[in-house]
Amino acid sequence: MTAADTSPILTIDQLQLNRGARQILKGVSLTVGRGHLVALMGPSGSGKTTILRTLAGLEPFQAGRIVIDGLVFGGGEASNRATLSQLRRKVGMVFQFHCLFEHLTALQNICLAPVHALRVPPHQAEQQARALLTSFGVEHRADALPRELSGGEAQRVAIARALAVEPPVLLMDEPTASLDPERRGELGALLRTLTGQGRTLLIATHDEDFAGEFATRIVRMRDGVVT
Amino acid sequence: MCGVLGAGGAAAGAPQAFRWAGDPEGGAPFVEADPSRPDALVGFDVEIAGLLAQSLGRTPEFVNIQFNYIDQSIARGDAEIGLSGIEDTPARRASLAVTVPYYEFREVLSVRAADAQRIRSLADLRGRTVATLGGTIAYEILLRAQQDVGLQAVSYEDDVHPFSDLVVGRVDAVLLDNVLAERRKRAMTGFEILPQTIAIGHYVGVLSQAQAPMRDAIDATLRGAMRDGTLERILRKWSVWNDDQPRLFARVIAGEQVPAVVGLDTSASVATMSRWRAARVYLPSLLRASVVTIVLSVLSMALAVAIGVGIATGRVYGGPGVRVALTSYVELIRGTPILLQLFVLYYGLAAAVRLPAFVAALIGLALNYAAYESEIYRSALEAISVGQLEAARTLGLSERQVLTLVRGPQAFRLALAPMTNDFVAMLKDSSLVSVLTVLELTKQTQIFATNLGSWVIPGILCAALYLAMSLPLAALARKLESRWKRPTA
Repeated sequence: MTAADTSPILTIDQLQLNRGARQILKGVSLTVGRGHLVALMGPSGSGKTTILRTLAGLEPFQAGRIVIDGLVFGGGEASNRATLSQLRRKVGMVFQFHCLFEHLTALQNICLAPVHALRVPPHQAEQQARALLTSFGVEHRADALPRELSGGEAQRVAIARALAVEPPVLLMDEPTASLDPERRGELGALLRTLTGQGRTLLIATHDEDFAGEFATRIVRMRDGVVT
Repeated sequence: MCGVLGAGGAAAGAPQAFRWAGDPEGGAPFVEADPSRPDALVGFDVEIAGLLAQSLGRTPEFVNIQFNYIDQSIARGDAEIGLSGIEDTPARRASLAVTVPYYEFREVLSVRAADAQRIRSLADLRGRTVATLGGTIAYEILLRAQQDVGLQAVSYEDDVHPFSDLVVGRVDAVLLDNVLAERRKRAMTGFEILPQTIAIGHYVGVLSQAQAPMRDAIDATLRGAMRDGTLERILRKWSVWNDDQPRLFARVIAGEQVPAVVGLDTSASVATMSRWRAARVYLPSLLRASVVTIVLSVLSMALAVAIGVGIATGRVYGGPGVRVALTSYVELIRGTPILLQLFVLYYGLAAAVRLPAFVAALIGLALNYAAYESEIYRSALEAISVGQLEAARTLGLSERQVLTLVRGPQAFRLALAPMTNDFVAMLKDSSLVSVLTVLELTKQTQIFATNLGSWVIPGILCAALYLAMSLPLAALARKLESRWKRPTA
């Protein structure tokens, strides 16, 4: 287990989220230290993925407060454009099904946000993207379209894409869902490398073995609350 | 004597029907719906048809055929005779059984009152635009003058809009026969008919060549009506009797061969050439018309795509007001005929905006197709998965960037096949703009066929040219589709 800085980079305080009349998150509170890999576990519908989506700015919430790397926002600010823009510099997200842009190659997927959201010069963005692909062992797939990648390759490209904008916090939804045991081990090693570099990871997973082996902490949820 | 619109076949025991074809849109004094009884027809051609039917012991039955297609309909047997102010031409003589002429007319120029002193002949119209009805002797005269004098000939589908466009200034003169010009003069002000005669022609009845024996019987009836004053009474009743007619009647009764046209050299008419020579003569004009078709289609499609993208984006991203306005536009365009839209744009708005014909055609096609394109783009935009959009948002892309960098490009790939389909459809729909006087491929083919008296070679050439335009396009689209094929994995 990686020895991590214990200062919290992420604090969730009494987060409440409703969809219509249904309460999905019922006052979730959670603190994650810098450089930690925290696994959110619980049955389907317990609210794991909703927490990740809320932290990524994809779900507005009704009450509570979130603090990420010094950025504080409450329910009313969650859809504020300026807040969302700052939030997305702090948080990267890797979706369960990767959601790579289908019309772009692996390299183009990674370069898109640096070039257009951060205004990094294209040649510099490409150099950084190639370095990421190399560090994840998929540099030979740079020119492949998403449909030509295996599940493991697509996941690595998706992680590289999320990291290309250098967020301090990376969210991953069910990262082992489509991996065989060998690839799970490789992913765990990769995530350890990332936490070793000071990144903070929050993953939603059903995979007890993976969480037990690689997470610095496991947070269990049921019916929209941390148990 | 009134024909009955849409009358059915004769009842058992009643006299056999005498089916005669005409176009009531041509109006009085030829054939028109009776203003007091819209289900009945009146006009001198209606009365002549009645006269002929009576002489044959039959009952007249009217067959409504658009003026431009009367020859073809007669040739294929839709009716026994065509009578609707049909001109005697070498082409008709070559391909049909033509009756003796029963009326002599003069081709005359009409100009705006202010120009009446300055214009005396076609030579005075160098560099000017002169309108007429397509497929007529007058159009042939203008095509010759286009080469010899340097005027610009414009063909219309009807004989009303040349005069309205003359009055509003879209054209500088109209060349049509005196019957049509005088009829229009009674209903419209702002132009004058010049007294000079440009050419002389005749109205005839047309039958298929297989009906030559009936034609001979009809000729005898017409001669008899000329002798006994019946025809004169009919023509006087419709105010078209003049001093030219007794001279014509005398020549016809004497059995003299009356030339089809006087004042237009018809020795070089395509009707007198071999089919293949005629095809070679017309090929350059068909190729020029193809260029008009392809340029018009490409420009209209480009504009339709741009407007369609705007409408689709507004319907997906706009507020409620914008969405309602754009949806209303799409439904209005899809719910009304494109011909109506073209007419409104070109003629309906002429008092306020006098668009040139090509520009009106381009805008009309583009506005129509934009409605259909927008539906394709809207459904393509909505087909892009939410995951793709959320992934783009979490990377910090703005909504505009999500649209232009992720959603739009993926939607374009989905829309490509239906877009190509629409472009091929537009190549063909562009033929509709001939109603705005744009001389595109189908219209040019129709003129060729009318002058030749046959649709076989013009039809084959026209089809070959359309295929030469659409097949490479379809091949290009297939190539693009395979290159940008939507991922299936």
